[in-house]
Amino acid sequence: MRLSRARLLRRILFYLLITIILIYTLFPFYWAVVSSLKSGSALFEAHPLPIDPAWSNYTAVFQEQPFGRNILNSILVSTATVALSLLLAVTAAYAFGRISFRGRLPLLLTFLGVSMFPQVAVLSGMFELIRTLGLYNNLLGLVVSYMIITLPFTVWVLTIFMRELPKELEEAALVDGATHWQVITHIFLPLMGPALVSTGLLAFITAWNEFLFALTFTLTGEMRTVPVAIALISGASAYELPWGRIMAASVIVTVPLVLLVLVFQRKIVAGLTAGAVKG
Amino acid sequence: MASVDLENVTKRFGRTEVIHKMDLTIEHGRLTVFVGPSGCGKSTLLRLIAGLEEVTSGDIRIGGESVTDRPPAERGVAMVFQSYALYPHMSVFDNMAFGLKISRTKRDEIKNRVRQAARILQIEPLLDYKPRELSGGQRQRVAIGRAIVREPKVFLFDEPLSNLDAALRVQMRLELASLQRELDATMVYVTHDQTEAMILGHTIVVLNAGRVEQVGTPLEVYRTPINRFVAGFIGSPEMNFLKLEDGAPLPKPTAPEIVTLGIRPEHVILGEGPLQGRISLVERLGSETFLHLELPGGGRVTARASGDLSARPGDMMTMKFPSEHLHFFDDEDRKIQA
Repeated sequence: MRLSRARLLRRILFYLLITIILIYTLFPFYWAVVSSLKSGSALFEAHPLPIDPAWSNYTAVFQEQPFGRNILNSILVSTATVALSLLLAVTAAYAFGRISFRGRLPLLLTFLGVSMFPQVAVLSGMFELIRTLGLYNNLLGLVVSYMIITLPFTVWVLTIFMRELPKELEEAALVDGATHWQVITHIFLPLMGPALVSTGLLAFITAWNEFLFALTFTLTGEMRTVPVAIALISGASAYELPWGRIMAASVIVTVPLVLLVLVFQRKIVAGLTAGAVKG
Repeated sequence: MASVDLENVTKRFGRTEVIHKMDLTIEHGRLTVFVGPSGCGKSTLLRLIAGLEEVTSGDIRIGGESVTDRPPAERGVAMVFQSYALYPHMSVFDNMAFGLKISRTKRDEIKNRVRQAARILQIEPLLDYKPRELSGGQRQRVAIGRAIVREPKVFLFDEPLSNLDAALRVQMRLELASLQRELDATMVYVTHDQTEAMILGHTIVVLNAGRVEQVGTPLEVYRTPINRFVAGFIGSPEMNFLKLEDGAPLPKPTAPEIVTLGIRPEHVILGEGPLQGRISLVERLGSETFLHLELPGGGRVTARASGDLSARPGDMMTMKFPSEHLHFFDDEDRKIQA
């Protein structure tokens, strides 16, 4: 009897803890949704539920600035960043994971080292680079600059994953007549699906949320990505922050990420635990 | 169909030399087995022939043509790996067809060749399965099928049976032998298991520490080993080696340089003769019994006897070594003709 009571208590504590964690992580998002549905002075009342839900904030976001264009920019930039990062990372990972050459480790460590600089440290240098390349106020400039953030971790994760794949598979394919490129495309890529999805998604989220480079390297409203666009949403006067519209915009750009994660959920778990246990 | 010739082949990994200036001819249409203890270089040798490793110096010819500088795909070889190395995401059919697809063979031709190979190996019903759905023996067949489909000049097998259980191993061994006859193929087979080498090989190449110790038919290698290493490696249980200085009343050597005497367990005659030993261990296998004996001089002898021999540890046993079955070795372990 006493034992089962202890067990009951432990179970209650367990769910209590889960509830606390859930509230802690979900409340900000919940509050954003709620705030986005309030208008005018209702925003400043701490009501947990919108009493009179208004969609005016959502329409206003698209009317007062080129927000549709901003979303499209974000999609283009993030997708291109992911595609280029994965292409470069897969080929780099093949070299790092499969071919032994002089200077492999120093090079791999350099990749890691690059990711240790804070963004601010490379900002001015990157700005010069972007200007020289003629990519200022150009989406391509953002893609190029984002890759210094995404490549280190995509290369590392994929290199480690590639190393885990049995060497015999590659050798069998080479004896079968495949070129190195065919080994990558026909043998390794299909096997690396989960790793590609999880690293690709991480890269996508990074690019989607990036603010500092996007703010610095774009000038006009049409070239902005959503984080910058949201930050620059302004009210009628300098003293008013239009929280309702800011929250509405935030909700709009969060939803695609949530959907993406849900769609690829199973693959991500497979990718994150890959190689942990021999299957 | 082609012979394989190695000329002066040396392979170094960094500073370690694993193959020393090796000359070897693998005859066409025969099953040649590389056998030796682990680390003797047998797998490296196979990988050199396959082109998966580059030779440090020397020349490799397949069918008379030098292939030393060619990649694996252009050597006309097919390889079966110990781990099978089937492509996990492809069906059995696609696994077998992969090489042909890469080389842009026509679809009908691919279908025909895969079906034919599947028929030979009796895996036709499995063509749509994925490798993970197959048993070990079936995977092994698919791996062999993938090799057959390519119609190579030379088949290379790297310990293909060592991941199978004992019963399946015996069966696959027989099938491999009959497959070789059916295809009339040149096959090179690497194993550390001397029984497998004896049963499968037309020719056995005994390797040790990167050198060829002896090449011959299984019976030649068994009956007339060229040195003490080969004598000890081929045959199970191992040949008995007795040092003459041990003082036991051993048969008198005929040449002064002889220091060691060898006799196989099955050639020791028990129950009569001038020698006497104490039984230290009795191993009963049912059909036969192996006695481990200690000679008074300190030597040890293993002897084979019938399965119903009554003997217990501690008993004394007389024995003799028939002179026609004795092997003599000098102080550098070379065999001396007596």
